Amino acid sequence: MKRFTLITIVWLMPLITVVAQSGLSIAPYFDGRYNKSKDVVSLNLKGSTLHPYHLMLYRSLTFKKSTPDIEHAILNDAKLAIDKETAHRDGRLLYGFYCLPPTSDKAPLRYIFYRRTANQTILAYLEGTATLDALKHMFK
Amino acid sequence: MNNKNTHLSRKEAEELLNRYYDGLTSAEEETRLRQFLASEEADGGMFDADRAVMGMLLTRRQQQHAAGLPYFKIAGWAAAASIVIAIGLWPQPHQPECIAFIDGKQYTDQTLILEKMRSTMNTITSIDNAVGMETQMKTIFNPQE
Repeated sequence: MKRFTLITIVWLMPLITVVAQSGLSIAPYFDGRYNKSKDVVSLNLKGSTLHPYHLMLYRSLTFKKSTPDIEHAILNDAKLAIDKETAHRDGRLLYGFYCLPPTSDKAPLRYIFYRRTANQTILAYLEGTATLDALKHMFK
Repeated sequence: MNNKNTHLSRKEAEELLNRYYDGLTSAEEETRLRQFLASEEADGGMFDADRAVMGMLLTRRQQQHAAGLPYFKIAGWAAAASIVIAIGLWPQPHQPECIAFIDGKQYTDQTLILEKMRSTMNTITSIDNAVGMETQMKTIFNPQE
């Protein structure tokens, strides 16, 4: 029994690192599937580097050519939003900024940013304490 | 464990490991366990945690014997330390604080990645006037203070 308990603990610990976006429809797009793709830029930042931006986690995917159908996933997650700003063109989402509630009392806020231009489509997932408005103006 | 001089099967090893964690194994049985865990038969992941725990305990026991302290007195601390070590040794992708994949190539230069992040966020949040004329809509359900 002691052995079982110990090994269970050891097995469960790595899972802590992958719960960041669990439960969100966009989560699968950040599982590393585009790491080796041409015409895709995948950025992953966490830790002290992001403290000046009041962020704890930053992940983004920039698709420069073919874009997977991520709009439905975003719209699904958008149902959880407590703050958002969106625009549509020709019936499709042009951009969307969403603030999602924390997963627990002590957890940070979650943000989803989506932007579609003529040349590229960007999906970003962030975690931190800044407001959506603050984030929007922080990088201008 | 009747076959003291023969090679352990996986099932025998599991039984012996359970006795080991209960503190019931003899020195000879522990030697056989270590030999099993060092063998190819123990490969495959099932015994990785046991290997880490036994390795740590053995090291600590040798250190404590040298210092004249009883083995089982420190077994609890050694087991806790083993968990930490086992987690550290557990095979998982290296996850630095900054990592980027650009056109299939990996980058870990923090300055470069940070600049890419700023540039990406600038592109996302730079909503020009043309976009503003579209069906822009702002909806605030619960303003964040």
